[in-house]
Amino acid sequence: MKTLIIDTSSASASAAIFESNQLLGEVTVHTALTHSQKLMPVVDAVLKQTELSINEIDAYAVCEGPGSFTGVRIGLAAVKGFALPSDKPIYTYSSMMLLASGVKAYPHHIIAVIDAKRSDVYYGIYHWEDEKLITIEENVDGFEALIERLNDVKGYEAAILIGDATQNYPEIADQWRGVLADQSLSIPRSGNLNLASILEKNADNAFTAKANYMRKSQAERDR
Amino acid sequence: MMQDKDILTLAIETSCDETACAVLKNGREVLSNEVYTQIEIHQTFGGVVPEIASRNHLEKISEVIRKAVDDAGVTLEQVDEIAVTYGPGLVGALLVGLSTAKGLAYALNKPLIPVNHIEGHIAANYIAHKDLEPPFACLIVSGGHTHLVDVKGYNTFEIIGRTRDDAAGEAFDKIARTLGLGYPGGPLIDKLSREGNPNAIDFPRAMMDQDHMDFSFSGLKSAVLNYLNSCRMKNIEINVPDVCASFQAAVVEVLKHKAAQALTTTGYKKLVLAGGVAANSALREALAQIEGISLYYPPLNLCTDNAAMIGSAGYYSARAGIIGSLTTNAVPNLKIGECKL
Ligand SMILES: [Zn+2]
Repeated sequence: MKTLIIDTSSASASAAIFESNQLLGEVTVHTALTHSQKLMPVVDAVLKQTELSINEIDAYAVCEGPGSFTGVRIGLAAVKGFALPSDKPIYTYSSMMLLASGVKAYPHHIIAVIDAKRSDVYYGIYHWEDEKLITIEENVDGFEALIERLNDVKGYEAAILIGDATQNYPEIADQWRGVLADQSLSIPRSGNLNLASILEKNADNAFTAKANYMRKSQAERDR
Repeated sequence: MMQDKDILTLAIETSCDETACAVLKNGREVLSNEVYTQIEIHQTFGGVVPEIASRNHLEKISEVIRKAVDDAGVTLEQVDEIAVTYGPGLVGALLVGLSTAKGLAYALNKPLIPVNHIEGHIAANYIAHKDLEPPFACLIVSGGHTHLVDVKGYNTFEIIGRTRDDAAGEAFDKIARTLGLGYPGGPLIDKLSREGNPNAIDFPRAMMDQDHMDFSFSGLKSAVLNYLNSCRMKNIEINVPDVCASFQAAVVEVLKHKAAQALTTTGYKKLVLAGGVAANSALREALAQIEGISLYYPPLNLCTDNAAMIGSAGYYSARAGIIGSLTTNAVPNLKIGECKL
């Protein structure tokens, strides 16, 4: 089974193709261009380099968010367009999980934090169990409050903290008692995705696949 | 134009608060025209909330496309080209339709035809009037646009008059909101005007005696708002139908005057009305009085935002070789006649 994985939840556009659980190729572009300009060329490039046509793809995995509202929608909308004609399955995964998937086989907890602006973070807590990445918790909270809370959790002494929020709020990240991941791991790369844990979920399709913004629109919050 | 085969155009429109998809045969025959309107969702906010519009587009888009294709009795594989609005409009909303269209076009290996939403409004008339062909003068009046356009060809446009401040539709919305009528304002004011006296209040008509074809509606809008304010301060009861009728009469008189001027300048005998405000009955009646010309306007369901009009415009773009690419982006402030591929 061939799966095309797409991520557009951050500034980078990333597409990868897996044959079963084996990575065939990945293209990630981390530039200032918009996703509307980056995503399709990235998908086209990974298909060309793996000598596949889009019709040979059996399933899609796309980031549901959270992150850039517009970015998340561009990825989901494109995948809906890909999947609609042949009604192929769409699997969704969270942007924090993709980051955590990049810390392969880490023996302790992995905490991924994505900047949600104004010192808030979207966070996810994970750990590896055999070949699968298990999700413990995903939510949005103040970064400082989150660090304070997790600093008190027994068993999290060697947990690793990863994600762009660690660079954007270094003074808060410095209060973390555990391990701080290298900055290069903050760029989400679709080829890192732990497919095994994604494919376990029920598949969505072009009609049911949904974004997970984790936040209401400004107009709804102001009401 | 002779063709050996019928051309099927699938069109997608998400520039504002309508998620729409249509299938057209040979650019003028509508096989299906599906519109999912979010009006009710936005009504509670008193206007369109861009982020909420974008979220709803993404949730509904596949369903709307599937319904349009099924209603047309075709399959996605049978479609020859994918037309999509790429501007003007709300950028986040545009990007949902555009990204879906790019994904579809890529998966189906069919050309992507980016369409200007306003040019789509003009093309609604090609669907309604099978014999209508350019050149003609077109008056486009909608929530965000008031333009007089010299339509020289299917893909050649010259703006000969524009609003210098507010769009006519914007003034309708603002005044409807101030009167507590709700949103969208155009149809509500049109309806109430029928019970009012258009000569009750003398609102200003701007730029009538000048020889250019530009419009200005901010002065009129302020005059109406000032009138309402002073009534409230003096405790004078407001006759809402009279205010609506008098305001609408002022807008219509200016539009008619400038449209007549456009016909004289261009020498055309055809006047085409397009955009959401084209549904306004007083405007239609007034324009029909211009002597020696034929007036064209689309039926109501083609005046408001829809994808069939995008399909018609896209069909003529495709015949002229206007094709998008993998990097085609949304252009929220796209102008009439502008091509930003
Ligand atoms: Zn419109």
